Amino acid sequence: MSRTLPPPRSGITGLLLVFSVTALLLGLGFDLGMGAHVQFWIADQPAAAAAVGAAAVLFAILAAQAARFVLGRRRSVNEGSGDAGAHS
Amino acid sequence: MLALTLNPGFVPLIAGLLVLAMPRTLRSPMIVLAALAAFWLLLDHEFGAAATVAQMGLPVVLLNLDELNRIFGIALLIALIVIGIYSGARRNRYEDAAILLLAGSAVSALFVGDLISFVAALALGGLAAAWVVFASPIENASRAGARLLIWHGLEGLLLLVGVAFHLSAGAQASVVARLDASSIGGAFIFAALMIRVGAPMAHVWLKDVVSHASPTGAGALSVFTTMLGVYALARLFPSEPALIWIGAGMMMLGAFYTAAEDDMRRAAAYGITMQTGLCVALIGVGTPLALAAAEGHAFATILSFLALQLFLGAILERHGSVRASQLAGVGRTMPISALLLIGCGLAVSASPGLALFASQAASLEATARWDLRWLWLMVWASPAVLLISLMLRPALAAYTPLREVRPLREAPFSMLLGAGLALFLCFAVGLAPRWLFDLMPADVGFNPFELDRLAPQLQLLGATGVVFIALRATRAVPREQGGDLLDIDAMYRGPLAQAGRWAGVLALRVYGAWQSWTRRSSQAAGRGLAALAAACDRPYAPSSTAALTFLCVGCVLLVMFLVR
Repeated sequence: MSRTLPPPRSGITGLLLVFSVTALLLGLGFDLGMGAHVQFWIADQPAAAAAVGAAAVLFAILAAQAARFVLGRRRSVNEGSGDAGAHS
Repeated sequence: MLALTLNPGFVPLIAGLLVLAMPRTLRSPMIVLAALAAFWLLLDHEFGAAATVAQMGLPVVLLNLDELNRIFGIALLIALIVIGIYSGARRNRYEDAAILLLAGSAVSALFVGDLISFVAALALGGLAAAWVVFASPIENASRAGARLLIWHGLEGLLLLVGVAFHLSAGAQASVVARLDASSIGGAFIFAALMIRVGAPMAHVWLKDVVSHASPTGAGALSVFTTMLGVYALARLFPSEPALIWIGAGMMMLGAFYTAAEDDMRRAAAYGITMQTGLCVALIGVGTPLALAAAEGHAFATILSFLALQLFLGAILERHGSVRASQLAGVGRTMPISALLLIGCGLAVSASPGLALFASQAASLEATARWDLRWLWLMVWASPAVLLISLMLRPALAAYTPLREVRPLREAPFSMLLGAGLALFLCFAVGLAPRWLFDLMPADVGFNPFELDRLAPQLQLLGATGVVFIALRATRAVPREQGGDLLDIDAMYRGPLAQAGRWAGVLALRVYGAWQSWTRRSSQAAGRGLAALAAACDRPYAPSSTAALTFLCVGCVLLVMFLVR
C-alpha cells in the first residue's frame, strides 16, 4: 500500500515571516512607545507606516492582477524555454 | 607634479580598443585596471575647467570637474570595477570591448564641459550600448539591439537639433549650463533626455535591452545608460517643474509593471525606472537638498541595482531562467546566489543599513512639503512595492522545493565575487552614509539613523512582509504564472509595425502602377509622334490627310486674296 508523500517545504516563508514580524514590532514599539515617527501629514498618526505598507501590498496585488488580466500574453509553445526568448 | 588633463572617461575608451586584441585571462584585469586608472585621474584633479581648446570657433572643454559630476563619476567607475571582476567568468572579447566603450563614453559625457562633446559622448554611448546587446548570446538579442539603435538614433537627432538651435545664440552658448526648456533648442534637448532617462512612453527600451543582454551586459546597461540622463537633467534642467510630474509618472509606471512582471530581470529594469523617476522628480523639485538627494539616490541606485542584476544574471547563467514562475529549486542548487539575491532585494527596497535607505531618508526630507505631499507619499511607499516585487516574490519562488533532486550548480566564483562586492558596497555605504553625504554638492546635515527615520522604515517594511505573507498563505495572492506583459512597445512592434508593413506594400503597388501607366503612356505618345513624323515625311502622298492639307492651304490663300 503506497502513501502519497506531503510536498516538501523549505521553511523560507516562516523565516521571512519572523523577520517581518520582528521589524514590524520594533517599528511599532518605537512609534507607539516613544513617538518615533515622521512629523508630516499622515505620517504623524500612530502606526501610519504600517498602514502604508499594507496599502502598498494591496496595490501590488491588484496591479499584478490587473496587468496580467489586461496586458498578459501567454507564451506560445514554440517559443522555447530560453529566457528572454519570447520577448521579441 | 605630473599635470595630466585627460578626461577620465578616455581611459576605458582606449582600453576598450586594447581588449579586442588581448587573451581571455588579461581582459578582466584590464577592465579593472582601466577603471582604477580613471579613478586616479578623477581624484587627482582639482575642481574647475581644464584642457579647453577651440575648434571651428567653438570652445571644446574636455574636462570640467565639479562636485556634481564627481559623485556620478565615482559611482560609475565603482560599477566598472565590479563588472570587470564579474566578467572574468566568460569569454566574449566583443562584449568586453563594448562594455568598456559604454563605460568610457558615459564617464566622458560626465566630465566634458561643452554641449558638442557631450552629444558626441552620448552618441558613442548609444552605439556601444547597442553593441553590448548585439554581443549577447541570448536569442533575439540582435532585434533588441536594432530597436535600441532606433531609440538612441532618435535621441541623438533630437540632441543635435537642440544643440544647433542653442548654438545659434552664439559660440559661448556651447558651454554646459542651465538651459530653458521653453526655448526651442532647450525643448529638443529636454525631449532627448526624456528618452535617455526612460520617461513614460519612452521607458520600454531599458527593459527590452536588459532582458536580452547577457548577465554582464545587463548589469552594464543598468548603470551606464539611464543614470547619465539623471546627471544631464541635474546639470541642464534643475528646478524644471515638468520633471516632477514626469518623475511621478515613471514611478507609477515602474511600480505597476515591477509588481506584475514574471521575468525578474525585466522587473528589476522597471524598478530602475521607478528609482530613476524619483531622481527626476527630485531634480524637478530643485531645492539644494532635493538636488543632493537626487544625486545620492542615483549613486545608491547604481550600486543596489547593479548587485541585483548581477545576481540575477548569475542565476540565469546556471539555471537558464530568471522567471519567477521557473525559479523553484534555485535555493537548493545555487544556495549562495539565492541567499545573496535576498540581500539584493533588501538593498533595492531601502532596508535600514543599506545604501538606498540613506538616500531615501534624504528624498523624504526633500519632498516633505505640503504642496508635494502626494509625491512624498509615493516616495514613502515605493520601498514597500520593491520589497514585494524584487525580494519576497523571487525569494519565495527560489526556495520552493522540488520533488526531484538536482545537483549543486553554483555560479562561477568571479560572478559571485563581483556581485558580492557590489552588495558589500551597498552595506558599506548604508552603514556609514556620511562619506556619501560629504560627496554631495549641498550640505546634507542630518543623520538617517535617527529613530524618527529608522522606526517608520522598519514598520513599513515589516508590515509589508507580514501582510504579503499572510495574504499568500490565504491564497489571496495570485500564483506566479508564466507569460509576458504587453507594454507600449507592443504598439510599435505589433499594430504599428503591421501598419508600416502594409503601408510599404501599398506604396510599392502604387509605385508599380505608376510605372506601368507611365510606360504605357510614353509608348502611346511615342507611337503618335512616330505617325506624325511619318506623315510629315510624305506631305504629297495621296491620302485624305494630304487632301485636307491642300484644302486648308487653298482656303487660306483665297481669304488672303479676297482681303487684299
